[in-house]
Amino acid sequence: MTNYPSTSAITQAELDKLLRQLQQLRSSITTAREKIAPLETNLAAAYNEFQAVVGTLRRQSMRLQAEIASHRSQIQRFTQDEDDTQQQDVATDNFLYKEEQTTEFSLKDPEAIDKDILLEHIFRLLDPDVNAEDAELLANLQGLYSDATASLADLLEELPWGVVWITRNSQENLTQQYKRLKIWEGALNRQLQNLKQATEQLYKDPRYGLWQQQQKSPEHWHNFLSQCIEQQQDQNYELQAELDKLKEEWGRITSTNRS
Amino acid sequence: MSIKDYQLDLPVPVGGEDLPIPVADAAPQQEQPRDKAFLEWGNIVSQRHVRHLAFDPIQGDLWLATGGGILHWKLELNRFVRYTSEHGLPGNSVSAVAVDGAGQVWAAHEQFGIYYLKNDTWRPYRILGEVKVSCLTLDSTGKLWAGTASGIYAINTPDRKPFIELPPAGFPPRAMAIAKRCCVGKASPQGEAQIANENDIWLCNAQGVYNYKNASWVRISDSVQPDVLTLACQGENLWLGTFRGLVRINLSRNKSQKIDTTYPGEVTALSPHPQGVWAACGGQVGLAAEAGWIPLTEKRFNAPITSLLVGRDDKVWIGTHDGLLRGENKQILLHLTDNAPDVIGLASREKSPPTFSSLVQALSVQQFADRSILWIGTAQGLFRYDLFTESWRRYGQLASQDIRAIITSQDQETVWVASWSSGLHSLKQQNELQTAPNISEPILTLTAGSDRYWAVGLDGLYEYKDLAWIQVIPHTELPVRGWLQAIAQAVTDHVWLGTSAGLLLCKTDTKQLTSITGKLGSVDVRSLLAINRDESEQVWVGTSQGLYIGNIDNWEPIPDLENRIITALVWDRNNNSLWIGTDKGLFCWLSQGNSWKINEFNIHNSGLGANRVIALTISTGEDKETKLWIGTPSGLSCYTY
Repeated sequence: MTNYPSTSAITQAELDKLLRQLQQLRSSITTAREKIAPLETNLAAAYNEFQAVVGTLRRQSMRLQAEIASHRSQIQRFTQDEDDTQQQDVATDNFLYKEEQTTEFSLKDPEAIDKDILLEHIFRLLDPDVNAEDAELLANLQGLYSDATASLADLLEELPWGVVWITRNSQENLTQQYKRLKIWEGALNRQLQNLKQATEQLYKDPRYGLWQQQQKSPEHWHNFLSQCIEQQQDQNYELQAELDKLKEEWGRITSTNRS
Repeated sequence: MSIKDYQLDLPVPVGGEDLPIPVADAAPQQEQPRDKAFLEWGNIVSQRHVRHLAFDPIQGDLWLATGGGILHWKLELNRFVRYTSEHGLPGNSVSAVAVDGAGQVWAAHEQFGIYYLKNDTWRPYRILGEVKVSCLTLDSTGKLWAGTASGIYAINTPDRKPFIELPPAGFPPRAMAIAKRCCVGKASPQGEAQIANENDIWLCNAQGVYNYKNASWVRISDSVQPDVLTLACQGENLWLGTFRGLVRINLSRNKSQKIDTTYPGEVTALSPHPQGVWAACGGQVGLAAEAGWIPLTEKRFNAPITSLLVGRDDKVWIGTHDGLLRGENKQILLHLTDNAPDVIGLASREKSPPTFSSLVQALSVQQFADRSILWIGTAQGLFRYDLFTESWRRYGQLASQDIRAIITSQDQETVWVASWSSGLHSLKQQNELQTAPNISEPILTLTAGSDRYWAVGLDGLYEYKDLAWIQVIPHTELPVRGWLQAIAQAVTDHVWLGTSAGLLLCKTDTKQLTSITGKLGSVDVRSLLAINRDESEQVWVGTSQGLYIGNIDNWEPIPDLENRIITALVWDRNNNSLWIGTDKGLFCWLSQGNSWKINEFNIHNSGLGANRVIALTISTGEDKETKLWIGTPSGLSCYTY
């Protein structure tokens, strides 16, 4: 919970202190971003290399698995319709590897009002008609503003330290400026926490294991990829055989039904 | 993974899940036991076939009795320790495990008695000898109880005789439950009868459910009730798992109630819970409580559920013939070591990952300049084990095929693999599997002769000539009323054929068959080995009644091996010794000048996985160390010398 000094007690000194804190937060965010960026790049590179070699086989596996599931449910539906009392064949154990839940996100931006206030503040302080730099910054920020997935902190990160940060606009008094900056502080704090968590998440990312394999030696990485190809090929052979069996079964069911 | 490219250009929709990335480093780490009972021995066997579970409440660890030994899961550390025959167990096939109140771990072998763990090796509890234990359980004070056909024993410590010995209840118990009798007052000192009286002792066997009362077993039903598979005591209730569902008996009111479960079917495992009992019924795991049947998930298992256990944080551990699973928060997840030989290959959304099959039926070594490959034919597929990199492969094209024979060509380029139902296949490096045309399955054995390859099938003898397999002797032309089972060739002009009704000699040019006279003319020949030794041919004939050595018309039995089925023979030319696999152990015949001696290896004096040997082969490492690979029904054993 944000813990403001009481409105009447806001002083310029407190505001200055808050500004210093904001500046520090921005710097911490930059450091966190610098730390995360190479790791993300490395993981993406390792994964891309892995996918370039094994990806086709993995896609084939996904397709076969989906087709198997589809055929199996088709056969199950049919046999259930045929005989409701018949016990269901339980060949599917898809609890083992749970599907990732699709995140349902609301299109409504929870920080829309705060982003509005920021944009309004910028409009009051910058002069895009006169200053080309201001015009470019504003265009950039407007793009982010209209993106519902961009947070207030994303906008603030794009905003260079300067007049927009330190100046009170004509519609604000000291207390209102302080409140606005407090909201920005909260957004930046959240951003910093998210970045820290994201770094931790990268160490747990399945791609991290790939990157570790890649780091061992080029020969090890080559052998690892060769083994992945073999394993994936072997799985695909098995899946194909299973699919063929299901297709055959379905063919038998439908031909029996026709006759 | 932000870019899910596999979702593009697909004819069918797929879920939002990516395939798991197969990185072994992320798997749980294996710890080696601190000691070995048989240093030269090792075993490669899957520990997915779970038969019983035990929880160590002091350490928070889980112990699994499996068809491939004991698996110790150090849950907090996500590490595991494997124990197999070389660690003192009498073979790999373990049926039950228990951790008593003092933290002592006990195991029951399928046939050969009770063992306990001390200093990381398994030692026999000699007082009961090689008694066949049918179940292990703990009483409310944490004491171990063992159920056998010859009696029920309560055991306190490894070095003392059982402190209670109860008479047998007819048939061996399938399960036992021992609860504290609440109506007994304090008394000391405690005699055997008094301890037995203080406990409410229940068991079920092929005759029904029994309670131990007034120094004898009393069956609770008037008639024989053979359908009770397992039981558990919980509060005032005795729960019975039967072929046809779950039954609760309120012992204070003597009323029984059939529990309605989602699926009808047999109840194969029970585990008491404060609110009722966890049960595996009709392939589904659920909690049978006052409120009724609460399934853990909607899913049903195909693999038999053998054991349930309530662990910490209300987790339910589920032991199945396809591995260990963990039930928590309405989810069931596999809890595997993710290491070979438990896991060899990839899991799919619908299937658990493949595992090494314990029934090892054929072995062959492919020797390259820089490494050796061991080919392993099992009842559930073909496996390749690189002895240099220790990497594994299970061939997808022969997945679930029953592989009966393997040979490697003399140039080491081709591996021939015979399957029971899919014929004969050749494998070359970097090439796809090729299936040989014009050869009928099943092929029972393959051999590399002095100048050619031979395959023996139920329909006759095949020869590999001009890059094709051709039938040279149909089974109808055999001069005996039997079928071909074995073949050996050491010289170019003839080949030895073993049939189920006698030994034959076949001329390689004319294919003329001659029956051997004498006892070997009608014996059931199971294995053959022909070698050139001292410029003469020496033939070993393994039969269902022992081993013979000789040539043409002069055959001598090996006295030490009489009445044993000789299943496999392999000659070690570096050590001038013959390895002999039998149905009752492994033997080494060592030539010492004009005499010879025989050494015996079995599950008690070695790390052999099982006494029944099915296949043998030898590999030699760079350090000139010889490895004898032994295929058994309980995995692959290895003896290094």
